[in-house]
Order: sequence, then structure tokens, then C-alpha cells
Amino acid sequence: MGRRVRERIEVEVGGGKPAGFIWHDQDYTVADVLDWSREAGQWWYGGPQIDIYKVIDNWGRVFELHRLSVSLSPLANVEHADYPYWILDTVED
Amino acid sequence: MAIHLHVHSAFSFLDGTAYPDSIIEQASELGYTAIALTDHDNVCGAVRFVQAAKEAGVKPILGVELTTNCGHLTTLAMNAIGYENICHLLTIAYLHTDRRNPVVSKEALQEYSDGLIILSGCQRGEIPTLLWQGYYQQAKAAACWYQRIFSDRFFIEIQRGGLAYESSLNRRLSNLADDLKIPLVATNNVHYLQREDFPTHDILGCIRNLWKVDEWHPFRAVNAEQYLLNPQSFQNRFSNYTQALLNTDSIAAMCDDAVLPLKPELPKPVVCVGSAREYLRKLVFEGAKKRYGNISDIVQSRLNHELEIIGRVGSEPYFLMVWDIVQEAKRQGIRTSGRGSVVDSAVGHCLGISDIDPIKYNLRFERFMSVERSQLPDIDIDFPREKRDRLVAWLQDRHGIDHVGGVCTFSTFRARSALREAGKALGFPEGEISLLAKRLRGANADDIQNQIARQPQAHHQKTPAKEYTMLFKMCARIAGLPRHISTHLGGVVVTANPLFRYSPLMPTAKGVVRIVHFDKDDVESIALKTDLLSLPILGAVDNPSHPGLYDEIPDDDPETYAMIRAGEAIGAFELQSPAQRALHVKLQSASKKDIIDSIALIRPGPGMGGMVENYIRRKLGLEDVTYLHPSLEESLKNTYGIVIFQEQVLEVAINAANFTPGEADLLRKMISRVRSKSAMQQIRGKVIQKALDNGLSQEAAEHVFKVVSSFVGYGFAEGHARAFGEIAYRSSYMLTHYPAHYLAGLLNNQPMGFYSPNTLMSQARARGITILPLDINHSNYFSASTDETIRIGFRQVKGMTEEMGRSIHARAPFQDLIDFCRKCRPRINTLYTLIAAGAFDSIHPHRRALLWQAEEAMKLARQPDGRRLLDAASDAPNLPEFYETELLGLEYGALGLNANCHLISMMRSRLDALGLMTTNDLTWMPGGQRVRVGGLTLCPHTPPTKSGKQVLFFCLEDEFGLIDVTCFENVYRDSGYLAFSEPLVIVEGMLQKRNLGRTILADKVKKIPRIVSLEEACASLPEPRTHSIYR
Repeated sequence: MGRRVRERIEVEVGGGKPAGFIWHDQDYTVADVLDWSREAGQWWYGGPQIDIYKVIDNWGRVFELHRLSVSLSPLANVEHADYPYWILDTVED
Repeated sequence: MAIHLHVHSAFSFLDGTAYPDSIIEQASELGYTAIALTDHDNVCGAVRFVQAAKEAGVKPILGVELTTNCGHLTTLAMNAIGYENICHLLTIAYLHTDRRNPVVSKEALQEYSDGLIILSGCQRGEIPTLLWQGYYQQAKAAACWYQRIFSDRFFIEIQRGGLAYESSLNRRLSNLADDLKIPLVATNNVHYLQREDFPTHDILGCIRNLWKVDEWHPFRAVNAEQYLLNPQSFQNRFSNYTQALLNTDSIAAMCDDAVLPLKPELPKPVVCVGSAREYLRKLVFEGAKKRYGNISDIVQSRLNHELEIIGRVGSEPYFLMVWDIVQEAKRQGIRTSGRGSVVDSAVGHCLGISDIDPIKYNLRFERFMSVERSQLPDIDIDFPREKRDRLVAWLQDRHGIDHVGGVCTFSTFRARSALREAGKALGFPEGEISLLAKRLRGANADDIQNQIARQPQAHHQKTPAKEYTMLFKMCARIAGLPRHISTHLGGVVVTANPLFRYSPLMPTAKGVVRIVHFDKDDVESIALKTDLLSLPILGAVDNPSHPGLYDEIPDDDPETYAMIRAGEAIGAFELQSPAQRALHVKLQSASKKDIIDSIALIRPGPGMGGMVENYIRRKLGLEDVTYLHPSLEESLKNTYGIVIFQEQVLEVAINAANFTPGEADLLRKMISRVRSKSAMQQIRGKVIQKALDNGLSQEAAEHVFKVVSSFVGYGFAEGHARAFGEIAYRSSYMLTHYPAHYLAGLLNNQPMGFYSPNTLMSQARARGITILPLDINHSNYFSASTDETIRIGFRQVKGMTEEMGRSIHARAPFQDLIDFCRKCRPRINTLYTLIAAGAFDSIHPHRRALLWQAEEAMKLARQPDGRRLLDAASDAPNLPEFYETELLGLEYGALGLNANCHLISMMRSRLDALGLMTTNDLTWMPGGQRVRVGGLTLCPHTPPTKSGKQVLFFCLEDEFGLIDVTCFENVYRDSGYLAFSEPLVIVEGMLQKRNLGRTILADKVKKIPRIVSLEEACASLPEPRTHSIYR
């Protein structure tokens, strides 16, 4: 089971994958990416695409990080200032 | 380099967004040297895929994603045998399972395994499904089966599309491959070209599966990764499976280049004595003797010339096959008529394919065939609708069922279908979308917003930007994509070898002929197409009361021309539209030539070029006859210097711009197919330069191009106009002299023509014919006629099958409702419709009571004392009969016509109270007066005009006849649009008269209330009683 966090975070990227992140002023180093998947999101509402990374840090804690990028909607504004950004979605127990 | 071996095009029907040529273009741009096409259960894209690949220098690999009884399976053709086996497998699946969802059995796969390379498929494949469910041993057994059958031609397919479960599945697939020493192969299961195309693919999937975008489903794609990856991304994605990538290249190398030869195959002559060439020559000269008597030098030389070209192209077997069809039609007494460019062929005339003599009318053979045009001929023949299928069935018997196939057509998304289907998927209310779609006429799906602004009947429905912008965008994205496969109206191919060497054969809904997977353009690469078309008028003119009359009609009957120039040709083939009737009034037509010219004139090309008015003025001597170039006088003098036929366009190109006949025809084809501005500019440059070189001024050269380009795509060939003109004259003769028989014939061949059955019956009444209503004891399946009467037949009843209609006639007379139910066992809806239509009026003149009793009568008919029980119960309800207007509404709803009187006559007192005139009043009124008339709106349309402005034309019908109404753009936008949505309107405007023609130039159109519908009438009935006596 995991604890839903859903907080926006800063992520350091290396080789196209998350290498570390900061959450509540604390650094977490990604030891390995356990799984990756991608979702197109609710494009009909202008919803963003989501890359889902399940990562493990040096202490063996497992997190689910979401990278949100510009929507595939034909009406999407590709210049949208916010995208891409990261969310810490879940911390696994 | 890795090669994409699992690629879907738009021909995966709602599971792919790119046409095969776009896939090839993109693959070529990305640097791929080969690519496969693997659509779901069809090869519809194969021809254009191979053609585009050849042009781009990319190796095409043909394949298919088969649906087997165990799951999806990616199947590639190594060679021609493999392709043939794919076609075999699909043919078997289409014929022996569901034609909409064909399933290939593994037994069939084993039998037709030669030349096939098998990849284990996507996550819906047999092996991935078993592995995913945890059945490793079963997956292994399945893999062993494929390995045993296909040996080193079997590969385990892995995909990496960013799905949550994928890594785990790929590990299991990899383990299985290691275990059995089966090579892995990497694919991306491509469904669209770029990531951005995903919403298009997603909405198509929702349309296919009737999902709303808000609903999730295990089979719905969750991300945008199934696109055509570039080589680098492909490599990166499978960096852990390098051998799987290398294997794609090995598989591509195993496949031959030319598995589909793209060489049209001719039919085998089945009635040939000696060589096809000699036999055709013999038949042609025998036919020439019958047609011409003595064969003059001109005829001899023309036939030799045509036979020489036919021989050079090698199409003698094709002509013999068509001749054979025509002979059989004659043997069966089926009327035929050649149409289109074959009318330009003297060989066709001598073979009996066309009755028009091209030598007499100086029709150019090059319009039909030429040496410059490498394309083989394409012959079109018309048959009566009811008999066309019989002839196709004969053709299958004659050549063998596997050698004859119908041509398919692809239904693509246009504005209406896109709005309805994408709107439903996006969750719009169906009623709202349906109304908008209904009001939007003739629009493309990528031009909806413009058309809404342009068409007032549509823009009066609100489409707020917030809600509708996404819908319109998605409609634009799916515009022109194929939705499903269906049957071409007439196209048939016949080949010497079985057709399944080139295409699967699938049954159609109607089941008469099996269709190939290629449309009219693609099929030309495998066989010569013959269009065996349905022309209902050929059935309508064959009246059983006067057999052979049509063939004995005298030429130049003055009464027929008088009827045509009085604008009364409602019901006559090709001459009945308001534009045609108005033209003949103005032209004061008095010859067949006027009819033929008018058929070519009332077309978008001449209309847009403003040639109609010039033609009228010149014909009446109100304008000088001038020519574009002195050399054109000979070819244009018969049409007063105006270009109205396609052949004349060729003459313009030949004489004014020095094209050869073949080049001119190529030019015609190029212009009619050109889709871009730059391509048109190139053609323009060529035409103008050639005209300048021929000594024309710049202005004249520009004019030559204008004539050619504005006309060529929309005009009729003279031969075609002559063939149709002959039918038009003869049908007009029958309308003039045998109106009851002719109009009954039209009724029996509906749907056809311009006007509804109700209008045709109004015309019949106006001509003094008595219309006898539908009668359960007197009607036949077809409407029957005497010189003075038409008896409505059961064919006219909505939802009536031929079997039921004929059975009612065979079992008549009937004493009462029970007797009818007992003998005929109708379905309840049929019974309701017959009662509503008044079919029982002669035995029980109370329709409401009969409707009330119908359901019980059906039940009681099964009991021996049913009649007594019904009689005992029939006094129970004391129902008032419908009002007369309601009865007419019921009859109209059931038959689409009123036999005894016009609906408007029932409203006459109300219309009189509103101070409205009748169309009869307008007969005696002088032109230039203001009028107000009420009636039914018929045939509203906005044809293209020279100025580009929108002008609305429609007819207003009342109990006395029709009046044509014209609304200029401002009136159309203000109120005229109501003609599209309101069945009954009041028109106010100015009466215009010319000769015997009448028109209202409208300045206002208003609504008047409607009359009760069948549903409304039935809804007002009390529930049938369930009294104990009925039990």
C-alpha cells in the first residue's frame, strides 16, 4: 500500500530518467528506476500527458513520481508555461 | 537498421489514422529502406502501399494482422505464394465466419502456411495473453505449434510502448523464446504517424467500440507511443533487445519485393472461336453489317482504327466479355444501355454495347481509349435495378465464382458522419448533434465551421465555441478517413485466374456478389473493371401492359416536345429538375438535340462557367455566335460556339493549344484529379504556353485555360449525354402519351428521380388519372395501371417485403381482419402500417377501431373461434374515427403518398383564411404581381453559380401542382433556409412568367403548422383491452 502525497517537487534528471529529487527540503537520490509507463491523460479536457516512474532511493524507499507534460489535445497551448513539471504522487509503505 | 514490421494504416478501419501512401512518405523521410503493412483482417491498402513504396524506393512488405480463434497474429507475406495464402485465409474467414468479424482457424492457418512469416502478435495475441494470465505451459505449447508449422519463419514479438505491465510481459516472452530457441522480433505496433495523432486514433477507437472518451476500457490505448518511431528512437526503445531489432532486418530480407504484381489481368474469353483478336474482329464486322447495312470506307476505316488500338492495348478479351454480358441480357429480355465514354466507340456500337452511333455524331474514340493513355478501358452499362443482380449472378456462373468479384468502396467521414460519431464519443447530446448534421448539406468534415457560417439553416442552430471547438477539431482530424468497407454500386471485375490470388473475397450484406478488397481506382491494378449499373428508369419504361412500346417510340413527336417546353416534364428522366424545366421553357425546345444539349448544360461545369445563359441567348438569336479560335468553328458550331461537352474541351485543347488527342485526354484527367494549387499552376503554364506557341494572344490563351479548367471535371461526354438524351426523350414520350403506365412504372422503381411518389401521384391526378387506393383485396405487389387508373401496390407500403406483398395478393380476397391475419400471419408493425395506409377501408371503414383491434386480432387469428370472439369484443370500444386530415397523415406516413387527394387540400380552408393563393391561381395571373402561396417544400438546393453567391431553389407543391421558387442570397439567409427544415411554408414574393414557365422570386418564407404523424395518431389510441372474453 502507498500513501498518496500529490505534491509538486523539483526533480533532477539524468539520462532521461529521474536521478534525484527534493521533497520538503530533503534530498532523495534515486538508486534505480523500477518501472516506467506513460499515459496520454484526458486529452479531451486538455489534460497533460503523464510519465509514471516507480523509483527506489538509496534507503530502499519506493516512490511514484509523475512527470506532467503538455496535453495532446488539439486545442492545447504548447507554449503553456508550466509544463513539464513533476509531482510526487505516492510514497510506498 | 531496424524495420517496422507491424504497421496499421487507416484501412484498419477506425484503428489507424494514416493512409498507406502517407506511411510510405514518412518512412522514406525517416530513412527506412523497407516497411510492412499489417492491417486488421484485410489488404485494402495493399495496392496503394506498393505503388507508393515503388515510387519512394522503399521495399513494401505486405501482411495482415489476422484475428485467429486464439487471438491476434501478425502475418507477413514472404513471396507471392504467401500473399495468395493470406488472401485465401481471409476469404475462408469472411465466407465461413462473421463477415464483419472474420476469424481464421488454426487449421486453415496450417493448411495455407506456405510463404508466410508469423510474429506472435500484440498483447491480444495467443501467446502474450496466455503468458499474461500465467499459463506458461500453455503458452509454450502454443509456441511449439507455430514453431512446428512455420519453423524458422516464426518469431516471438515484443513491444515496448510504455505500458505498466509491459516489462514483466516482455521478460516472460523473452524467457519463452530462450526456452524454445525461437528468435525475438521487435515491433512498435504502429497505428499513427506521430504522437500528436493519438487523439485522432483514440476517438476512432471510441467510435469503433461505442465508448465515450470519459470511459476507460482494458482494450483502450492509454498512451501515444504507437507511432512510427524514427530509427534512433526505435533502437533506444529496444536497447535491451538488440537481437530482436536485428531480426527485423533479417525478416525484411526474407521477403520478396513484388508479391503483388500490379498488372491488370484480363478475363478468359469463354465464347471465343480462334484467337480473341480474330473473333472480336468477326463479331464487330458482323455487328457493323446489322447497324450500317453496307460498310462504307468511313465505317471500315474507323473500325480498323479502333480495333488496332484495342489490339495494341491487348484488351480484346475484355470486349468479348462485355459483349457476352450484353448478349445474355438480350437473351433474358433485360434492357441495357451503354453509358459514359464507351458510347464514343464504334466497336462498342457494333457489339451492341451502345445504341448511339459515334460515327454519325462524330464522337472521338480517343475520349474512350488512346495509345498515349496507357490506362485500359472501362465500360459502363446500365440495367434495370431489379434485374442487374440476376445478370451478375449469371456472370459468376459463366466465369466461375472465384473469377468474378464486385469492387468495394470505402465509406469515409464527411461532415455529417463525423459530427454524429465524434459528437457521440465526446458526449454531446445525440439529438442536438443529429439536428446540426441533418441541416449541414454537402460539407466536408474539415470545413464544418465555414459551412455553418455559409449555410443559414445550420447556423441558426447555436454551436457555442466553448463546447463545439473540440468537436469541430476532431471532425477535421478524422475527415476523409475510411470508416468501413462497402459495395461499389456497379463495379465488377472478371479475371482468368482466381481473384483470391490478388485479393480476399468477402460476401456483402446483400450477398449477390463477393467483393474484392480494392476500390475502383486500386482495382485497376489487378483487373479491368466493368460497371454494371442500376438505372431504375430502364425498369420503369418496361410496362407489362405495353411490352415493347419503349422500342417503338417514334422520333420527333411534336406533343412530347410541347410538353417539355411547357415545363411539365415532372417524372421524365433527366428533364424533370426545376433547372431543366426552366431551361426548356426558355429554349423553346423542339428537337432531340435540345434535350441532349440541355443534359450536358445543366451540370456544375457549364453552370459555374455561366455558359447556360450564353447558350440560350445564342440559340434564340439574341447574341452573336463567336468562337474562341477559328479552328474551333467546326467542332463548336452545333452548340453555338459554347463548350458544353467534354469532347469539345478536348477539341479546344487540340485546336487552340495544339495538344494531340491523347495528350488532351491526359490533360482532362490530370485537371479533374488535381488537388493542389501548385499542380494546377504547372498545368496552367503548360496549356498557356502551348496556346501561345499556336499563335494565340495572351488573353485568348488565358481564356483557353479558363474554359478547360473550369469545365473539365464536371461536364458530360457527348456520347454519355446522347445516351441519356435518348432515354430522356423516350421517357418524355411515355409521360405524354401513356402517363398512367409510365407513372406507375416510376412508382414501382422507387427510389429514383427528383420527386417523391406523392408528387408523382399529384401529377397523375393533374393529368386526369384516377389513383385507386391501396386495397387488401385488389392491390398487387407492384402498382398496376390501366390507361386511366393507377392502383397503388403493396411495394409502396413502408417496411413491406416483396415476399409478404406477393403473399397478400396470392391469398386475397379477405373477409375481415381476422381472415387476413389467419391467412397471412403479418408482423404487428406491418399490420398497423397496412391499416394506417387504408388497405382495409373497403372491408372495414373505421381505421381507429381496426388499429385498436389489431393486436388482439393477431392473437385470436390462431384460435378456431377467433372471429366470434373479436366480434363479441368489437362493440366494446366506442372510438371516434380519425379526422380526415389525420387519416391523410396516416396514409402519407405509411405510403409516402396520398392516393385520393393532396394533404394541402385538407388545409385549404385554413390557407384561404390566411389569404393565400393556390398554384392554380398563378396560372392566370400576369407576371410581375406580388403573390402569397402556401404549400409543401420540395427539393431545396443551392447549386454553384457563376458569381459564387448562394441562390436557393425549391418547389412549392399544393393540390393543384408545383411552382418553382427562387431565393437570392439575402432572402435565403433571412428566411429561405426554412425550406430545408419545414415541410410546410408560406412563400411571399414576385411572380415571374416567361413563355409557359412560372417562378416566384421570393422575398419571405414563413412557417405554417404541421399535420399529425402516424406516431402521434397511434399515441392517442387507448390501450387494447384485455377483457376476459379474449382469453
